[in-house]
Amino acid sequence: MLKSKFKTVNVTCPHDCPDTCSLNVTVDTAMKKAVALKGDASHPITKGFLCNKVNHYLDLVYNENRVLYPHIRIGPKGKKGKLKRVSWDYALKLIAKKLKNVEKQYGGEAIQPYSYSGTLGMLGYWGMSERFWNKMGAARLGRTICIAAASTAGIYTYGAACGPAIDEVPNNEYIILWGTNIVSTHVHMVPFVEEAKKRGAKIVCIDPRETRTSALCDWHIQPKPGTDAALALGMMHVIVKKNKHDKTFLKKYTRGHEEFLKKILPKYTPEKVARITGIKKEAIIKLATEYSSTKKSYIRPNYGLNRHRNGGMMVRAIMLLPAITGAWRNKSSGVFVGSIEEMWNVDLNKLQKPALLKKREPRSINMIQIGNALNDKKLNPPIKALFVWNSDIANCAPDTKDVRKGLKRQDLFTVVHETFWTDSCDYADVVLPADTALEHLDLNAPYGHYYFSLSQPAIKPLGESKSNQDTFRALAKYMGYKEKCFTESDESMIRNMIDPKHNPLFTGITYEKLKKKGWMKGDVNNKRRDYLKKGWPTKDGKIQIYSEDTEKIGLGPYPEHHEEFTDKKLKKKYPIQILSPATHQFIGNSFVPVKRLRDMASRPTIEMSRKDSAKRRIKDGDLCRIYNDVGETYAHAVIMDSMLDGVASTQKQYKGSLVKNGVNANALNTQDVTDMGDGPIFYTVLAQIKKA
Amino acid sequence: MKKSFFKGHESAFNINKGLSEDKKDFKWYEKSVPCRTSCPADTDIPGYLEAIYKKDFDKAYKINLEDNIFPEILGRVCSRPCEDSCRHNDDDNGDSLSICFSKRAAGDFKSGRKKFTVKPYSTKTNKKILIIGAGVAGLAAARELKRYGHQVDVFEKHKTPGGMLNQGIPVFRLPRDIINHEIDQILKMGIKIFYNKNVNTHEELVSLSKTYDAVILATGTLKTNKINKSFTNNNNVEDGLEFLLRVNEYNQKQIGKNVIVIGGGYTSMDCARTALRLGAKSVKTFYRRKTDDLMILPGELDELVNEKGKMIFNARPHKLIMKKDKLVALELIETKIIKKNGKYKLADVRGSNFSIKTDHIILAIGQKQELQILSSYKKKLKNAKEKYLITKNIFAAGDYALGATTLIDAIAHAKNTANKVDEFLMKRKILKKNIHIENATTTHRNLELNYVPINKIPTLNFKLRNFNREVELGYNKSNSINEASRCYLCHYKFEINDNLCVLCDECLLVKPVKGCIVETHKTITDDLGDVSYSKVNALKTNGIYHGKLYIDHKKCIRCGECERVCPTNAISIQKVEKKVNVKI
Repeated sequence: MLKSKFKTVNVTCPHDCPDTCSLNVTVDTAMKKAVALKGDASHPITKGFLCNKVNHYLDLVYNENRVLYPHIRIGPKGKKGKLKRVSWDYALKLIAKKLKNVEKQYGGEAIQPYSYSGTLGMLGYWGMSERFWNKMGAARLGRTICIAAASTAGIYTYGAACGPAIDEVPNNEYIILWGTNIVSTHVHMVPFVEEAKKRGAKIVCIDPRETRTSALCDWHIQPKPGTDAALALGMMHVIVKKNKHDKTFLKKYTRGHEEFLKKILPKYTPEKVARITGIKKEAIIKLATEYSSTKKSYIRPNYGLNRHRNGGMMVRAIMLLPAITGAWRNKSSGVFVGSIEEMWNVDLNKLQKPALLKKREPRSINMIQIGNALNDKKLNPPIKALFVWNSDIANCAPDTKDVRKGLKRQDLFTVVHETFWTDSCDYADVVLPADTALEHLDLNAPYGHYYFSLSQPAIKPLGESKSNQDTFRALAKYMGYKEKCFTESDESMIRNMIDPKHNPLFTGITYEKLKKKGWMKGDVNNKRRDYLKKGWPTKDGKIQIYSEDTEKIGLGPYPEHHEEFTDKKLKKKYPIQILSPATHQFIGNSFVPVKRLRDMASRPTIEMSRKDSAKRRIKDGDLCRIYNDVGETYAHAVIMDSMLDGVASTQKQYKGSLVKNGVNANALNTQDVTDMGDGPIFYTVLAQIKKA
Repeated sequence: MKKSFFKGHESAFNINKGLSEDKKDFKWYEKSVPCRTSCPADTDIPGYLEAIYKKDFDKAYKINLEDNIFPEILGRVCSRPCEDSCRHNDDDNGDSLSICFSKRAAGDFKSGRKKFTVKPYSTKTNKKILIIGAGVAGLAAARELKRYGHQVDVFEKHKTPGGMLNQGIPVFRLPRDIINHEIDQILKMGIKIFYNKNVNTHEELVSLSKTYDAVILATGTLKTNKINKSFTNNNNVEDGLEFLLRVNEYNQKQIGKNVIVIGGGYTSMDCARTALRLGAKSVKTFYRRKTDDLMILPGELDELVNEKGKMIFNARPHKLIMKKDKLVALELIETKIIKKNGKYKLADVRGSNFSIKTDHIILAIGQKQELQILSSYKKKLKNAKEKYLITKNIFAAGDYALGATTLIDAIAHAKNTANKVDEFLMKRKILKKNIHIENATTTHRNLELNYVPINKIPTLNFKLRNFNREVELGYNKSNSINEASRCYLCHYKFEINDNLCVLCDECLLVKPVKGCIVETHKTITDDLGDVSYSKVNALKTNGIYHGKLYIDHKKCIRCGECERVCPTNAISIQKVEKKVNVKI
């Protein structure tokens, strides 16, 4: 009999969520198996609990649906095709041969890497892989699918500065959760909000949908989707009219406030904003008055907003609110869209070695337009090889029909590096097995708070699975890349990233300390981050109410409300705006393999208003067909009194093969881009709904 | 107003704190605290078990004294319907809590010097009440009526009070000092008792009902069932109750050599075990039905067998076999259950007759009230709805009203009769039951306590057993606390506030029993607060995001683990008590 001994390993949840939890994984060292997993009780954000998803992480690690060995395709692409198990050696030889052929015939640009946030470890997300593609001179990928518009709006307005993180929430008196369902997508913020509530703060939720988050707030305001810029500008109008704006703050710290107050804000009267947003005039005035009654205010928008055509502008307008009231004067107050601009600020020259490009400047393909790119006959050179990792391209990219048509191309050589048998594997020529967070080392830099963590391997990779880093290391060897950087160890790469000279947040952090404790807070009080004293990281150190950048791209220098739908004919043909926010059970398409979560998600739903459903004779629970000129999907009706007429809400990135016609809401989405940052417009979608 | 979809949390209670008279809240209590619900005397069982767990034996004794009047007696010989309904008894939850022995521990370990009294409900009235019979029912009614402020006289036909306690239950099950102590507590309240005094005729009863403001008949069930004349007229055949009376009250301890006891109830067990102690060579007890049909205390049959008594099932007495006018044997017939006209019936097995050698047969085959004294009122008792009032100012209490029942049923009924008498005489209702709700932070329980095994009661070594020594020895202090720690404390309510629940599954990962927390599509609360729910059904209903987590209070074992892991404090704990309030 083996005698069991247990050890605890600090792992970090690698999934695409602002919370980036520290996990304590219990490993049976005799069985070499992880047997328990819980949230790190010492971590100030994790606080010892996990979300419903990661609570079942071991079910994901030891899932029967895991890809454990390399496979190659025998037969056609698509659902009916068959795969055959091969050795790594065979698979890598095949990939190297194919890529070299494409490179020779069409050039490196004909090889398209495709990845996103399957893991957010700094190495797994953009470490060894980028060195590999730089060396090859492969096409670039515009990784825009999530936060492009909001991130760009933030940089245009504040430079790369981020606001106070969620652990500062309890120090505020007025908290606005703006377009975020924290219960489902940011659950570790809930205890901080509850704590603030206990201390007497008022919690306001601004969201077109009623959610479990709006249910725990004191006040729920439901603007029409895509009108939040008008609401923010309307609030500013009231604040300025009531003389509640912080004049000295505006003067000292902002650029362009005079003209903005004189020329722009007067247009956004409560009456006009009420017409645009559908919110009562009185509510707008009340919201503005309450918000400006204290400098201890905190706004937490999230990334839902930025997935509208006018998303960048909406985020920019909201981000300016604390500049009007001077809430920034309070260390714990302001607005917090995320911490990614600062936390992910590592020295990419060291991490990704762009010098390997040797002055080549390969073209860049926007990941949300991969459908177009794969099918574009004029594209020169055409995409002849596609390497997918960290992404379920067949479900996650918008305009599914187009994407899958491209993926089906017989002349396209596709490699999919995956942990699970996703729908994308149906289109791969080679499937390579990927590991999970328990099986490798990585450094995690959250986008929802300021605690770095070191994710340490708890178990050996299952089967023959390999981490992203090891996969690209191995591939580099088969490609014959001799540079030393391709044999650099994970630990060495991480040590090089922890560089306080490059990013002041790393001050005081060492690899050893991280290894011991599992996590460490970034140096948020570093003098280099004292924006009130040092100025913001913008051109002139001021908050850009006036922005040359937005003017340059044709949006005008000041924040304004822009209508997201201008085509009235289309609006008539497809009268329902479809929102597709994150589900409670999955993160993107991750966690679908966990049966319990699938069962609890049960089936795709479409939340509709009573009027819209009655008009279509749809009853609660009815299967509905949702369609537009781009495509169609199916979901079961949930009739909600609180839903706005003309708006319906379904789930994003549901596993396509779990839907009646094999595709999710992405089937309805176009490949158009946002006003800023070229992000996706997942929420600027019109469709018709009928009982199926 | 648009109806909110998620802000739909409905608490099980209408109020968060304080006193409630809401039917729904009573219903919750009734459904959630099965032990108390099944106690005829409505004893606050979780209340006293919690007190024992907190080492407050005085409080535990007081609760019992208040609710069931004879804690130390009941702590030995109660029929314990509570234990049958204990939720520890449910699937996979283990053995029922030893509630009865815990009650005994409350008596055993209460502070010795302290006097325990119950408070009067009312000041003195000028009403005079006669109670006939000083058994448990008579004494219970007497104590309660005294508390209502009335003058109480009791007639007892024997030389000692206690009825079945003294004259029926043997000493080895119920020591006499225990009985005396608890009866003294009642009599000391100023109740006049007249011994060797009986009411024999209807006329006497009528005349007494004119002297007193009210009369309560509490004479029990002393008229024993008979088989036939050959049995009745035989000198070697005796009724169980008579046998126990002569042995216990009059110290007449004659016993046959080969004794046969007939019957499968409390009396038959007492007769058989007494016969063994009096020196019978063999004691065989016959019962016409099966083990499951026995009406005896848990463990009693095991003790009988330990003491070398024999128990034979599925056989009934047929006839006496005499030799030279002397009883030599009893002929019996085997029985079986048959289905006739869709009904199950007991029938003889033809030709299965067999005889057993005997010189002494004791019949313990049931008893009923002696109704002669009621004369024309007989029908009125039969028709009385809850058997409290017979006619005019004549009432009935305990077995005399109900027929042969158990001690706890008789006590409960007598308490209610006393209440009715007060209502009748004073035109008032001064006792009112309320549900009392208060917020709690913990139950002081944890998951480990769910796995504490039952504490078996220690018993007297078989070799040391005799007519007088008590067989069940009672817990020691630490055993009793350990046993009380097993109580789920069902009077605590755990509830998930839907508005705070983030569906993180933390509680589901620590939940101790199947179904204590359920994923529901929705819950439906009926008018009486009864909650039913439909489970989230993969692919057939909408998912949990549109549903909720619900703590099923009928399955929840109050370990508190869910509350401890809930990150958003969505799980609240409330202590719910049923309290009797005095209102004048």
